[in-house]
Amino acid sequence: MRLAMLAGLLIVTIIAGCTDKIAQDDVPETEIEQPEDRSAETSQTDTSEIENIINKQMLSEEEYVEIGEMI
Amino acid sequence: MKKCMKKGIFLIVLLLLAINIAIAQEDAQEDAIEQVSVMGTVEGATVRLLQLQSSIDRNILKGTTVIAEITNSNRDLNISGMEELLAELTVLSNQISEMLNSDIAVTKATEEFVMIKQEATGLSQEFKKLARSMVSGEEQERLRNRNETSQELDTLKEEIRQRIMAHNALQVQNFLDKMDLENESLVGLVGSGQMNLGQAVSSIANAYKGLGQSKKTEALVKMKENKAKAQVFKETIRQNTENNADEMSIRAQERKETAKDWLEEVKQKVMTKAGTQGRLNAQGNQNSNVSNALDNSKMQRGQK
Repeated sequence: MRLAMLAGLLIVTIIAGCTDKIAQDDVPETEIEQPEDRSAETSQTDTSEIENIINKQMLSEEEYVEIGEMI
Repeated sequence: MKKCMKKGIFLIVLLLLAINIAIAQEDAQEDAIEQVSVMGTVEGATVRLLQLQSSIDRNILKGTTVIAEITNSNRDLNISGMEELLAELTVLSNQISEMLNSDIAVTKATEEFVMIKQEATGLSQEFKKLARSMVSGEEQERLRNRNETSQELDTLKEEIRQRIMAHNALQVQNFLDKMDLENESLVGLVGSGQMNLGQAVSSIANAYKGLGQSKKTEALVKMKENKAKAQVFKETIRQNTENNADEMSIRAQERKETAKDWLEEVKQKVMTKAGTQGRLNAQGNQNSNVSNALDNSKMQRGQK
């Protein structure tokens, strides 16, 4: 009985190990390069955020204060 | 039973009208709050106040034309309510002039901007309602499309343009400082209006892209601090100006009294002047003369 339990445990451990290995092997190349891509993405986000901050602090000549029409 | 139904319908209409007015006022306040993010500096606050004054002065000019059209068409219509509204708008414009000529704190000036904008929007709506009840649809369209301008408005427009350029140049300098960069040529081009807003923003963004990683992080933190300060400023103004129905009511009362006294003074002047030209003639043209005098008086005060 004990032997059967130990054998079962061993089989489960081997299967888990294999699954993990297969999962690691399946990681696509593009995902391994993710840190580099994310950095470029972050840089783009930062630039967009900066443009947004600048835009909010600058004034446009076309802009005016709307109070409605008289007729 | 029918009476009950009529009363019910009347109450529902009143309720809907009250809700509509409340929503319009809230919209006007929200709109004003959105425009205050640049008012944290004296330059930004000055531009917004001048823009508000320009809108009010343009409406006074348009209102004067509308009144003149009504009186010129020989209709026996009561335009005193409209003149009072124009006088109230004039009081608001004069309040802005006084603020611009004083050392008022930026926060206080911004709160005043929000409240005056709300008041001017309300007065313009009231005027429009009265004017539309006296002018046909065709005439309304013609008057709406008529381009109203004056030398004073053109001067004000040019002053706003110059101040916008100066404000933007200061902001460019401010952003360059945050990136620890110097570019006098860029600041000069923005300040003289040779570089437009989009080009200026792109130039700063490109300068940021060219920074090293540590400088980028440092600049980003400083700019985010700026953004947070602007947000806090906006929220402070929002809190200080919302749920202020009592204050607005007191202000309206004071404004009405000032406008009434002033209108009386203008009418007296018109009557005195007309007396020398012939009393009968003066009676015939009294209304349009008051409107013109009101407008001229405003424009003389508006000159800075």
